[in-house]
Amino acid sequence: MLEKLKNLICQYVEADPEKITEDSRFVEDLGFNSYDFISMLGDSEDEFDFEIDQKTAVSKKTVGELIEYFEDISE
Amino acid sequence: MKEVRTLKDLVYYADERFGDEPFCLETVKKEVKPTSYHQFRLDCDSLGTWIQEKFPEKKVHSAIVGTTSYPYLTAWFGIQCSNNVSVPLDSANNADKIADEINRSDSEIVFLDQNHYAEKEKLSELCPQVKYFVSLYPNNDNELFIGNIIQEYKGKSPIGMPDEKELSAILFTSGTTGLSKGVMLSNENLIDNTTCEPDENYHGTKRMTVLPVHHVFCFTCDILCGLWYGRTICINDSLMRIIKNLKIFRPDSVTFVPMIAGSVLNRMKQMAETNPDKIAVGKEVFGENFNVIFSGGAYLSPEIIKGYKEFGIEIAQGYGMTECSPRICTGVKGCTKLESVGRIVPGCEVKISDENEICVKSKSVMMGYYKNPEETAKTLTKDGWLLTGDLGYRDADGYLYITGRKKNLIILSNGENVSPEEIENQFSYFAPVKEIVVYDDNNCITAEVFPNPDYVSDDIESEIQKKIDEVNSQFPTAKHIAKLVIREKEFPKTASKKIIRADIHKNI
Repeated sequence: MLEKLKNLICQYVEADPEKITEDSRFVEDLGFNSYDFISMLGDSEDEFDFEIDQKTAVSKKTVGELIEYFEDISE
Repeated sequence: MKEVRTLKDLVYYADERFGDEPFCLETVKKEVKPTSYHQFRLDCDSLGTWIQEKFPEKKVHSAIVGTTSYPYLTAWFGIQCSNNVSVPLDSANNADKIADEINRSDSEIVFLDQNHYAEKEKLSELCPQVKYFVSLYPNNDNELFIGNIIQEYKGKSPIGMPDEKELSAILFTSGTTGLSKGVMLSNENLIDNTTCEPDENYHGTKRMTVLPVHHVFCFTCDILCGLWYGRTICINDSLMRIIKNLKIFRPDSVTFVPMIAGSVLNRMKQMAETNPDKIAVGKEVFGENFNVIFSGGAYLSPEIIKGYKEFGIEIAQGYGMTECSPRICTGVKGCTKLESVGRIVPGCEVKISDENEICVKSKSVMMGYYKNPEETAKTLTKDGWLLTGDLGYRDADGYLYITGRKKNLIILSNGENVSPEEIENQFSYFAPVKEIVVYDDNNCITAEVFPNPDYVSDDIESEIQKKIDEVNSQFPTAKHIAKLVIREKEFPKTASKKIIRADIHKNI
């Protein structure tokens, strides 16, 4: 899942995929603005075929936290 | 045809004129569900009757918390049909802030969507004057659900009609003092702004509504104008799904804020990497018959306008503020004055003060700030001029240009107004921080801090960052501090020891 999410991230921000880790913070480290982040969540719905609760997902600050949430809802 | 002077008139007018045509379309479990103007009027009447029955003797203020949906709109206009006052609140705020605005607006009924119904108990404790909490969606306890109320009061109509000069809504906007201010808009204000532009055959077209509905830009330009023109409102159920919903609804127009416009443009640029036919990409995203994007809420750079043009998509920029219901200028399709914020709307007088501040007078200008005469006096002159706080000029063709801001307010590209003081005040009693200034650095809210030299710590920066994380958790994402800058010297100050903000901005 990390690799797929890295691909999505790189479609929105100019980040080196090699340097994206589970500890990377979306806003501070990767340079997301709030709308790009929300928009990436929409793409994640298509990529992983699940329905995201926007309010819960936007509270996730790091790549690892978002993956943990994605894993929860895909179970 | 009846004359439209109030929002209640508007609901009746739309029913009479457009009847069984679709008032709004929304996606329900991946199906598009239409609701007619006629059904909308019936549902608003039913809810309005219930409100009048509960509060027969007095005007009641009703807060609404949620994102755009048919039940949300029914609540907004049901309140209007009962001749009462709507108080739409920012659903991105936390429960404490929502409770504060419920209390300061004296709301006694609160409508909550599914994301906020769980906070009912907390809100109930914090807002003892509230008599009824109504859920906009079916819920487990089913105490008060708008659908049940409408069913129970089916076929009934509320009595009376408000005066056009009466208060219709209170909308909160960020104040420069740190505390949000309740902008009071009358029926006349909102109707004037809705009907100020000529109808260019909008009847039967579709507008997709994307922006938060508690913002008056979305409410007037998408919702009220939809009722006025007979233009169907397509409800984008989530900011996550704009591009997907553009494909489902195929609207003729949308309203964006610059941040969304920029992001969608970036997506198209990315698609153009695999399909160099940019016009085809524009059509793939927006559809064959798409007409125009209207942008407002913040300044849209000419680069974005030019970028869209390459994809065959027109984007027109407008300008306004909540205090003016909101339109002062409207975006003009095909406008070549890319630096301007649009053409001044008919009926709106604009003058530029000696200090270059844009001042506005029209029927759309607010009644004042709710229970806040001091702030009202600072913003509205005795002879009715609204001081916008924006600096600029107009050209001979009636187009307006913004050159700066007089007030200390951050306008982010998502249209959010952020009061730096509101954020800075959170650090007032935090020992590691001696001085803090919050500003916008390239659309990124930045906190520049001069740490307290008397505070002993191994890692003061981490302590400050931890406090920032805590403060961020109290604000919606759009208002989060994204960057911390530590400075070694105190901020430059005036003789009266006030920090000179302008000097800090110059250094960015």
